[in-house]
Amino acid sequence: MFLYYIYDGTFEGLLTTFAEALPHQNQVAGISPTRDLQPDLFTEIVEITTNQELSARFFGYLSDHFSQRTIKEIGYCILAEERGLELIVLKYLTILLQRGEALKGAAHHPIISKIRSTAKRVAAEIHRLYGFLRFRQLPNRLFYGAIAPKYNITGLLATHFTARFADQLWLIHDTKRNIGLYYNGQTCTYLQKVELPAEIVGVSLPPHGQEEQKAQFYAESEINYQKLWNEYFQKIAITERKNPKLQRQHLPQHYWSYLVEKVDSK
Amino acid sequence: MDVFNKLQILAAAAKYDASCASSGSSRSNVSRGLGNASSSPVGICHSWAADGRCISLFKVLFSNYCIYDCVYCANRRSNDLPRSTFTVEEVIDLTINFYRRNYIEGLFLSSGVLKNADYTMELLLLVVKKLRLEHSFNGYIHLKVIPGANQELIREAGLFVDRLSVNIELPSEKGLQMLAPEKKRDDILTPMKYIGNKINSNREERKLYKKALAFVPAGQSTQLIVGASPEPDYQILHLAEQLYQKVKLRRVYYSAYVPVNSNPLLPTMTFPPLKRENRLYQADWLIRFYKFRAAEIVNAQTPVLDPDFDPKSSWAFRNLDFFPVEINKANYETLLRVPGIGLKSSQRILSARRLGTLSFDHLPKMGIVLKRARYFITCQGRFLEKIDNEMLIKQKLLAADLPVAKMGQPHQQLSLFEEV
Repeated sequence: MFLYYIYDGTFEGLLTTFAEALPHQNQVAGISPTRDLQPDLFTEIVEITTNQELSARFFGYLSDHFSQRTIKEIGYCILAEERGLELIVLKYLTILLQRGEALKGAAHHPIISKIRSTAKRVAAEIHRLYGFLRFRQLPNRLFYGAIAPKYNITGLLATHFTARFADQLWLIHDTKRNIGLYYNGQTCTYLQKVELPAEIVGVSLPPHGQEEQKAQFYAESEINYQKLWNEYFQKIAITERKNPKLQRQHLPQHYWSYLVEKVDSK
Repeated sequence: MDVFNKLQILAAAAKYDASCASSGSSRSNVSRGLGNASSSPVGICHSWAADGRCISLFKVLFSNYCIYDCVYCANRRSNDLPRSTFTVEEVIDLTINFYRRNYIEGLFLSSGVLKNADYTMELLLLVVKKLRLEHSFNGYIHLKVIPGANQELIREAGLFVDRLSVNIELPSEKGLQMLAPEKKRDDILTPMKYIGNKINSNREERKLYKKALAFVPAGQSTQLIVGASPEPDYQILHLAEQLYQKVKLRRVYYSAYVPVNSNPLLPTMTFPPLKRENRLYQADWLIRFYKFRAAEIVNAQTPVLDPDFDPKSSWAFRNLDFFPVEINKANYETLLRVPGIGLKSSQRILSARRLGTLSFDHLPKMGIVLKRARYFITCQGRFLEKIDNEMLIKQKLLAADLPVAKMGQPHQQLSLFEEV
């Protein structure tokens, strides 16, 4: 008999699933947040109810057994939200628990290399967003940054941006998932659903889409600084060294819609 | 003139400075002000310009007026071009507002020389001090030292900035005499040595007193122009090696000369020597990270880098008796010498072979590229492709770089009677 686990799509839900599934790891046929499987004769569907206490306990168990680096890698893989990756993470946990963390050195092992490459892609996107996120100032001092990352990493941006912009109000908005981060000058909060906080009055969020349509939502000086930046961006390039291929390689088109300097050239 | 026009002139005038690094500083946002220069150990790039160079810092000149007339420089006194000077407040306002929108990691401020070196240096210092003290700005600041400026000004600047750099400009004293006769080599080397010593003594000081202010926490760098004067790569790389060893520079930047002026003293060229610049950077990496000595890469017998092959491959061709390297036995330093195997690949090989013997099947799965390495390594004593003739390896490598015929354009058999 094979087991197919269905969980609610949350991080805690997945940890609960891992805790439940680990004793039966040889029978697990799949883990997924949706019921997209046609059950066959040999597969039993197990629906997991998220258990906060169990998931916290399981996380503690992992932290006791693995280095910070491995924990981070596993977390990144979960946030990648890739179909079918839950099962690979479970297999990864199994072999590391059975044979010790040193096994990670076997970089050619298919599961270890899959986890490594996935975690690397997620880490790369976090680093890219540190650079490519752009704030646009709305009236009332709020700096608004819209993003649409491939992976679900908005929560992981909090430490970086809080340390950096400690004296301004800002809102980072993942428009793809409608989640966000809001910093009120004191603390940063994770928003399950993006709505403007009550203390911000007289402001509405600019819609996605054309830059001209958004412009009326910005603070007065905002357009001016955007113009200055665009001009700077043009002038800093050395014409004799023009290299559009290299530029595209570093600056993938996927992120152009964020960038003040590239938004019109798509 | 309004800020927009000034920015046009002074950004364009600053573009020939190569450095844009924002890495390696320890300055964190302790004051709960704006900015955090210590957030990423590798630095953060915010954009890439049309020339493919990264934009990390707001790189700008304070002024493009200059009392000097250096032959290679676009801003030389005798060039007729629009000129302008920012006010201190203008630079600060642009820096702060660009930073707040996450366009930049900080400021890279340089300037043409106004009146004299001290006067200019004082203005630059004023910008930096106001940013730090009045605006509690903790972003990254890279400040150019004006050659000939007073040591006291340099010392004070070092306490507020993350990186200082003095441009060495031309790789030899002869080149400097020819192309920048008004600049003295000593005016460049003296501050460089001074900053180097100061960084060292500051490090000792901070071991004893944790609260002592950091002096230039992200270190010192320099830049030299490649191709404006006749020095061979051999001379350039030896100079770089000495700068790394003796003055403990963090980086040497090589800037392919862009023909901005025409002058009988300058070489005539249409394109900047980009390939040469690229090879110099590769050689520089070998010196800094791969434990190569400059004399192994270029020397009196081979004074220039081969444009067709990277410097590590060129070294390997000259030292074929060093190879093959056995993947399962060689130590870290030896693995680093194999063309195509880098720092990460070497590490990965070391940790993987602790768990079992490695074969050629394993290497690509570990993310190790065999394009170049295959001719220089063995696994369990066996070659993947044994060629011990330098010319044949070179041919194979060059062929591997050729673009593959595009799909949809089938190869056609040539006819004897048609002209190709």
